[in-house]
Amino acid sequence: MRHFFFLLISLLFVSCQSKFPEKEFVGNRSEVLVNQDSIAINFPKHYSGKILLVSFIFTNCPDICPLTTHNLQLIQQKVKENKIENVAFAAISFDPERDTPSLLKQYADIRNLDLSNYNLFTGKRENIKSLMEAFHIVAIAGDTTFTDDKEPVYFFTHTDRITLVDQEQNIRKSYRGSEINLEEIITDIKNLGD
Amino acid sequence: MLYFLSILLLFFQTGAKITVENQWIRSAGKGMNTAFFADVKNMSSNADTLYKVTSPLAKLVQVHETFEENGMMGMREAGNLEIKPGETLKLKPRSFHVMLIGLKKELKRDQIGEVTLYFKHAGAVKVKARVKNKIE
Repeated sequence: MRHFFFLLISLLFVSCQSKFPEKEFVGNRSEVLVNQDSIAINFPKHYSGKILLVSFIFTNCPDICPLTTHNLQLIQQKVKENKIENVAFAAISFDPERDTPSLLKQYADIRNLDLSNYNLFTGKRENIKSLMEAFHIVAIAGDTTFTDDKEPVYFFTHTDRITLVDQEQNIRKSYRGSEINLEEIITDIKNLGD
Repeated sequence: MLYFLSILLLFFQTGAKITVENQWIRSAGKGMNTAFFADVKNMSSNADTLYKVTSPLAKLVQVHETFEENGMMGMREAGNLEIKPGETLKLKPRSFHVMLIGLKKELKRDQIGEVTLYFKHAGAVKVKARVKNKIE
Protein backbone atom coordinates (compact mmCIF):
# COMPACT_ATOMS: atom_id res chain seq x y z
CA MET A 1 0.00 0.00 0.00
CA ARG A 2 2.85 2.35 0.94
CA HIS A 3 4.49 1.59 -2.43
CA PHE A 4 1.26 2.40 -4.21
CA PHE A 5 1.06 5.85 -2.60
CA PHE A 6 4.72 6.49 -3.37
CA LEU A 7 4.08 5.59 -7.03
CA LEU A 8 0.98 7.81 -7.16
CA ILE A 9 2.81 10.81 -5.72
CA SER A 10 5.75 10.24 -8.09
CA LEU A 11 3.40 10.08 -11.08
CA LEU A 12 1.66 13.26 -9.98
CA PHE A 13 5.02 15.01 -9.59
CA VAL A 14 6.22 13.90 -13.04
CA SER A 15 2.90 14.90 -14.60
CA CYS A 16 3.09 18.44 -13.12
CA GLN A 17 6.70 18.80 -14.21
CA SER A 18 5.94 17.76 -17.80
CA LYS A 19 3.13 20.32 -18.09
CA PHE A 20 5.59 23.09 -17.27
CA PRO A 21 9.16 22.14 -18.06
CA GLU A 22 10.38 25.68 -17.35
CA LYS A 23 10.69 27.23 -13.90
CA GLU A 24 12.79 30.35 -13.80
CA PHE A 25 12.31 32.92 -11.05
CA VAL A 26 11.99 36.50 -12.32
CA GLY A 27 10.60 38.04 -9.12
CA ASN A 28 14.10 39.12 -8.14
CA ARG A 29 13.86 41.83 -10.81
CA SER A 30 11.84 44.87 -9.89
CA GLU A 31 11.96 47.55 -12.53
CA VAL A 32 9.90 50.72 -12.65
CA LEU A 33 7.65 50.81 -15.70
CA VAL A 34 4.98 53.33 -16.70
CA ASN A 35 1.69 52.25 -18.24
CA GLN A 36 -0.54 53.84 -20.90
CA ASP A 37 -2.09 56.08 -18.22
CA SER A 38 1.35 57.23 -16.97
CA ILE A 39 0.96 55.17 -13.79
CA ALA A 40 4.28 53.79 -12.50
CA ILE A 41 4.53 50.26 -11.12
CA ASN A 42 7.31 47.84 -10.15
CA PHE A 43 7.50 45.03 -12.66
CA PRO A 44 6.99 42.12 -12.19
CA LYS A 45 6.52 42.60 -8.40
CA HIS A 46 3.22 44.43 -9.04
CA TYR A 47 1.77 41.16 -10.40
CA SER A 48 2.87 38.89 -7.53
CA GLY A 49 0.08 36.40 -6.78
CA LYS A 50 -1.36 36.64 -10.30
CA ILE A 51 -0.89 34.55 -13.41
CA LEU A 52 0.72 36.88 -15.92
CA LEU A 53 1.12 36.76 -19.69
CA VAL A 54 3.88 39.02 -20.96
CA SER A 55 4.85 40.16 -24.43
CA PHE A 56 7.48 42.61 -25.67
CA ILE A 57 6.48 44.81 -28.60
CA PHE A 58 7.07 48.14 -30.37
CA THR A 59 4.10 50.14 -31.59
CA ASN A 60 5.65 51.03 -34.96
CA CYS A 61 5.78 47.33 -35.81
CA PRO A 62 3.37 46.75 -38.71
CA ASP A 63 3.08 42.96 -38.72
CA ILE A 64 4.33 40.74 -35.87
CA CYS A 65 3.58 42.93 -32.80
CA PRO A 66 -0.03 43.71 -33.81
CA LEU A 67 -0.56 39.94 -34.18
CA THR A 68 0.92 39.34 -30.71
CA THR A 69 -1.20 42.16 -29.28
CA HIS A 70 -4.27 40.65 -30.90
CA ASN A 71 -3.40 37.18 -29.61
CA LEU A 72 -3.12 38.48 -26.02
CA GLN A 73 -6.55 40.03 -26.63
CA LEU A 74 -7.90 36.62 -27.73
CA ILE A 75 -6.43 34.95 -24.63
CA GLN A 76 -7.93 37.70 -22.46
CA GLN A 77 -11.38 37.15 -24.01
CA LYS A 78 -11.16 33.37 -23.56
CA VAL A 79 -10.02 33.75 -19.94
CA LYS A 80 -13.07 35.95 -19.32
CA GLU A 81 -15.42 33.48 -21.05
CA ASN A 82 -14.02 30.67 -18.89
CA LYS A 83 -14.45 32.82 -15.77
CA ILE A 84 -10.80 32.32 -14.81
CA GLU A 85 -9.77 34.96 -12.31
CA ASN A 86 -6.45 36.36 -11.22
CA VAL A 87 -4.92 36.61 -14.70
CA ALA A 88 -3.20 39.75 -16.03
CA PHE A 89 -1.67 40.77 -19.34
CA ALA A 90 1.31 43.01 -20.02
CA ALA A 91 2.93 44.28 -23.21
CA ILE A 92 6.28 46.01 -22.67
CA SER A 93 7.78 48.26 -25.36
CA PHE A 94 11.41 47.69 -26.32
CA ASP A 95 11.30 51.03 -28.15
CA PRO A 96 10.70 53.28 -25.09
CA GLU A 97 12.13 56.44 -26.67
CA ARG A 98 9.31 56.46 -29.24
CA ASP A 99 6.63 54.60 -27.29
CA THR A 100 5.44 57.23 -24.82
CA PRO A 101 2.45 56.53 -22.52
CA SER A 102 0.17 58.62 -24.77
CA LEU A 103 1.26 56.63 -27.83
CA LEU A 104 0.60 53.38 -25.96
CA LYS A 105 -2.84 54.72 -25.06
CA GLN A 106 -3.54 55.53 -28.71
CA TYR A 107 -2.30 52.04 -29.72
CA ALA A 108 -4.71 50.48 -27.19
CA ASP A 109 -7.67 52.68 -28.15
CA ILE A 110 -7.39 51.96 -31.87
CA ARG A 111 -7.42 48.23 -31.15
CA ASN A 112 -10.25 48.45 -28.60
CA LEU A 113 -8.09 46.76 -25.97
CA ASP A 114 -9.87 45.98 -22.71
CA LEU A 115 -7.46 47.62 -20.28
CA SER A 116 -9.12 46.25 -17.13
CA ASN A 117 -6.34 43.67 -16.73
CA TYR A 118 -4.16 44.43 -19.79
CA ASN A 119 -1.48 47.10 -19.56
CA LEU A 120 1.01 48.44 -22.05
CA PHE A 121 4.28 49.62 -20.55
CA THR A 122 7.17 51.87 -21.38
CA GLY A 123 10.00 53.08 -19.16
CA LYS A 124 13.66 53.89 -18.94
CA ARG A 125 15.88 52.05 -21.38
CA GLU A 126 17.99 50.43 -18.60
CA ASN A 127 14.90 49.10 -16.79
CA ILE A 128 13.49 47.60 -19.96
CA LYS A 129 16.89 46.13 -20.85
CA SER A 130 16.99 44.36 -17.47
CA LEU A 131 13.54 42.85 -18.05
CA MET A 132 14.42 41.81 -21.59
CA GLU A 133 17.39 39.90 -20.18
CA ALA A 134 15.19 38.25 -17.56
CA PHE A 135 12.63 37.23 -20.16
CA HIS A 136 15.25 36.28 -22.81
CA ILE A 137 14.06 38.84 -25.32
CA VAL A 138 16.31 40.23 -28.04
CA ALA A 139 15.48 43.23 -30.23
CA ILE A 140 17.95 44.56 -32.76
CA ALA A 141 17.23 47.85 -34.53
CA GLY A 142 17.73 47.73 -38.29
CA ASP A 143 19.13 50.42 -40.56
CA THR A 144 17.41 53.79 -40.45
CA THR A 145 15.90 55.23 -43.62
CA PHE A 146 14.09 58.56 -43.93
CA THR A 147 10.77 59.72 -45.34
CA ASP A 148 10.69 62.68 -47.76
CA ASP A 149 10.23 65.03 -44.82
CA LYS A 150 13.34 63.58 -43.12
CA GLU A 151 11.53 61.52 -40.49
CA PRO A 152 13.59 58.51 -39.44
CA VAL A 153 12.15 55.07 -40.12
CA TYR A 154 13.58 51.98 -38.46
CA PHE A 155 12.33 48.59 -37.45
CA PHE A 156 13.48 45.82 -35.14
CA THR A 157 14.29 42.20 -35.68
CA HIS A 158 13.02 40.71 -32.44
CA THR A 159 11.98 37.71 -30.41
CA ASP A 160 8.39 36.72 -31.11
CA ARG A 161 7.12 35.51 -27.75
CA ILE A 162 4.39 35.43 -25.14
CA THR A 163 5.63 34.29 -21.72
CA LEU A 164 3.53 32.66 -19.01
CA VAL A 165 4.51 33.64 -15.44
CA ASP A 166 3.02 31.91 -12.41
CA GLN A 167 1.72 33.41 -9.18
CA GLU A 168 5.17 33.03 -7.55
CA GLN A 169 6.77 34.98 -10.40
CA ASN A 170 8.41 32.05 -12.16
CA ILE A 171 8.50 31.82 -15.94
CA ARG A 172 6.67 28.56 -16.64
CA LYS A 173 6.27 28.46 -20.41
CA SER A 174 6.95 30.48 -23.57
CA TYR A 175 4.87 30.53 -26.72
CA ARG A 176 5.28 32.12 -30.12
CA GLY A 177 3.55 35.50 -29.94
CA SER A 178 2.28 36.04 -33.47
CA GLU A 179 0.79 32.54 -33.89
CA ILE A 180 -0.80 30.80 -30.94
CA ASN A 181 -2.61 27.65 -29.96
CA LEU A 182 -5.32 29.29 -27.86
CA GLU A 183 -6.54 26.04 -26.27
CA GLU A 184 -3.01 25.10 -25.16
CA ILE A 185 -2.53 28.45 -23.43
CA ILE A 186 -5.94 28.35 -21.74
CA THR A 187 -5.24 24.81 -20.50
CA ASP A 188 -1.88 25.97 -19.12
CA ILE A 189 -3.50 28.94 -17.36
CA LYS A 190 -6.11 26.60 -15.84
CA ASN A 191 -3.40 24.20 -14.68
CA LEU A 192 -1.52 27.02 -12.98
CA GLY A 193 -4.73 28.16 -11.32
CA ASP A 194 -5.50 24.71 -9.88
CA MET B 1 -6.46 51.54 -88.75
CA LEU B 2 -8.08 52.96 -85.60
CA TYR B 3 -10.25 49.86 -85.39
CA PHE B 4 -7.17 47.64 -85.68
CA LEU B 5 -5.39 49.60 -82.93
CA SER B 6 -8.43 49.34 -80.66
CA ILE B 7 -8.53 45.57 -81.11
CA LEU B 8 -4.78 45.40 -80.44
CA LEU B 9 -5.15 47.51 -77.28
CA LEU B 10 -8.04 45.35 -76.09
CA PHE B 11 -5.93 42.25 -76.67
CA PHE B 12 -3.07 43.59 -74.55
CA GLN B 13 -5.43 44.75 -71.80
CA THR B 14 -7.10 41.36 -71.50
CA GLY B 15 -3.68 39.75 -71.74
CA ALA B 16 -2.52 41.60 -68.64
CA LYS B 17 -5.34 41.22 -66.18
CA ILE B 18 -4.72 41.43 -62.47
CA THR B 19 -7.43 41.02 -59.86
CA VAL B 20 -7.11 42.10 -56.25
CA GLU B 21 -9.33 40.44 -53.65
CA ASN B 22 -9.70 40.20 -49.86
CA GLN B 23 -7.81 43.45 -49.43
CA TRP B 24 -7.62 45.09 -46.00
CA ILE B 25 -5.51 47.50 -44.02
CA ARG B 26 -4.62 47.02 -40.35
CA SER B 27 -5.79 49.88 -38.12
CA ALA B 28 -3.12 52.24 -36.75
CA GLY B 29 -2.67 55.76 -35.43
CA LYS B 30 -1.54 58.89 -37.24
CA GLY B 31 2.22 58.90 -37.73
CA MET B 32 2.46 55.14 -37.13
CA ASN B 33 3.17 52.34 -39.57
CA THR B 34 0.81 49.66 -40.74
CA ALA B 35 0.30 47.16 -43.54
CA PHE B 36 -1.95 46.46 -46.52
CA PHE B 37 -2.86 42.84 -47.27
CA ALA B 38 -4.58 41.27 -50.30
CA ASP B 39 -4.73 38.34 -52.69
CA VAL B 40 -3.29 39.50 -56.01
CA LYS B 41 -4.15 37.14 -58.83
CA ASN B 42 -2.61 37.14 -62.27
CA MET B 43 -5.47 36.18 -64.60
CA SER B 44 -3.45 36.60 -67.78
CA SER B 45 -1.46 34.05 -69.74
CA ASN B 46 1.84 35.83 -69.08
CA ALA B 47 3.85 36.41 -65.94
CA ASP B 48 3.56 39.88 -64.47
CA THR B 49 5.61 41.73 -61.87
CA LEU B 50 4.55 43.96 -58.98
CA TYR B 51 7.26 46.62 -58.85
CA LYS B 52 5.79 49.55 -56.93
CA VAL B 53 2.94 50.49 -54.62
CA THR B 54 1.70 53.98 -53.75
CA SER B 55 -0.95 55.30 -51.38
CA PRO B 56 -2.10 58.75 -50.29
CA LEU B 57 -2.43 57.31 -46.77
CA ALA B 58 1.27 57.22 -45.96
CA LYS B 59 4.49 59.19 -46.37
CA LEU B 60 6.37 56.15 -47.61
CA VAL B 61 5.09 52.91 -49.14
CA GLN B 62 7.22 49.79 -49.58
CA VAL B 63 6.66 46.10 -50.23
CA HIS B 64 8.15 44.14 -47.35
CA GLU B 65 8.67 40.53 -46.42
CA THR B 66 8.50 39.23 -42.86
CA PHE B 67 11.21 36.66 -42.19
CA GLU B 68 12.24 34.36 -39.37
CA GLU B 69 15.90 33.90 -38.53
CA ASN B 70 17.41 32.22 -35.46
CA GLY B 71 14.05 32.31 -33.71
CA MET B 72 13.62 36.03 -34.32
CA MET B 73 11.21 37.83 -36.59
CA GLY B 74 12.22 40.69 -38.84
CA MET B 75 11.27 42.54 -41.99
CA ARG B 76 13.15 43.42 -45.12
CA GLU B 77 12.20 45.27 -48.25
CA ALA B 78 11.17 42.83 -50.96
CA GLY B 79 12.34 43.32 -54.51
CA ASN B 80 10.04 43.04 -57.51
CA LEU B 81 7.52 40.24 -57.04
CA GLU B 82 6.77 38.10 -60.08
CA ILE B 83 3.35 36.47 -60.33
CA LYS B 84 3.15 33.55 -62.75
CA PRO B 85 0.06 33.12 -64.99
CA GLY B 86 -2.92 31.90 -62.98
CA GLU B 87 -1.06 32.25 -59.68
CA THR B 88 -1.91 34.39 -56.66
CA LEU B 89 0.49 36.53 -54.69
CA LYS B 90 -0.71 36.41 -51.09
CA LEU B 91 0.05 39.64 -49.28
CA LYS B 92 -0.64 38.44 -45.74
CA PRO B 93 0.48 38.71 -42.12
CA ARG B 94 3.86 37.04 -41.39
CA SER B 95 4.69 37.10 -45.10
CA PHE B 96 4.84 39.62 -47.97
CA HIS B 97 2.86 42.79 -47.25
CA VAL B 98 2.67 46.42 -48.31
CA MET B 99 4.12 48.71 -45.66
CA LEU B 100 2.36 52.02 -45.11
CA ILE B 101 5.01 54.03 -43.28
CA GLY B 102 4.19 57.25 -41.44
CA LEU B 103 0.39 57.38 -41.72
CA LYS B 104 -0.92 60.84 -42.61
CA LYS B 105 -4.10 60.22 -40.62
CA GLU B 106 -5.47 57.75 -38.13
CA LEU B 107 -6.89 54.60 -39.70
CA LYS B 108 -9.74 53.23 -37.63
CA ARG B 109 -11.88 50.16 -38.16
CA ASP B 110 -14.27 50.34 -41.16
CA GLN B 111 -12.62 53.35 -42.76
CA ILE B 112 -11.69 52.94 -46.42
CA GLY B 113 -8.21 53.57 -47.76
CA GLU B 114 -6.82 53.63 -51.30
CA VAL B 115 -3.74 51.80 -52.52
CA THR B 116 -2.36 51.58 -56.07
CA LEU B 117 -0.30 48.59 -57.18
CA TYR B 118 1.91 48.94 -60.25
CA PHE B 119 2.60 45.99 -62.56
CA LYS B 120 5.01 45.78 -65.49
CA HIS B 121 2.29 44.61 -67.87
CA ALA B 122 -1.06 45.35 -66.24
CA GLY B 123 -0.01 48.86 -65.26
CA ALA B 124 -1.61 50.65 -62.32
CA VAL B 125 -4.31 48.81 -60.38
CA LYS B 126 -6.08 51.05 -57.88
CA VAL B 127 -7.96 49.36 -55.04
CA LYS B 128 -9.98 50.46 -52.05
CA ALA B 129 -9.47 48.54 -48.83
CA ARG B 130 -11.36 48.43 -45.55
CA VAL B 131 -9.53 49.07 -42.30
CA LYS B 132 -9.74 46.20 -39.82
CA ASN B 133 -8.47 45.64 -36.30
CA LYS B 134 -7.46 42.09 -36.95
CA ILE B 135 -8.07 39.19 -39.31
CA GLU B 136 -11.88 39.23 -39.47
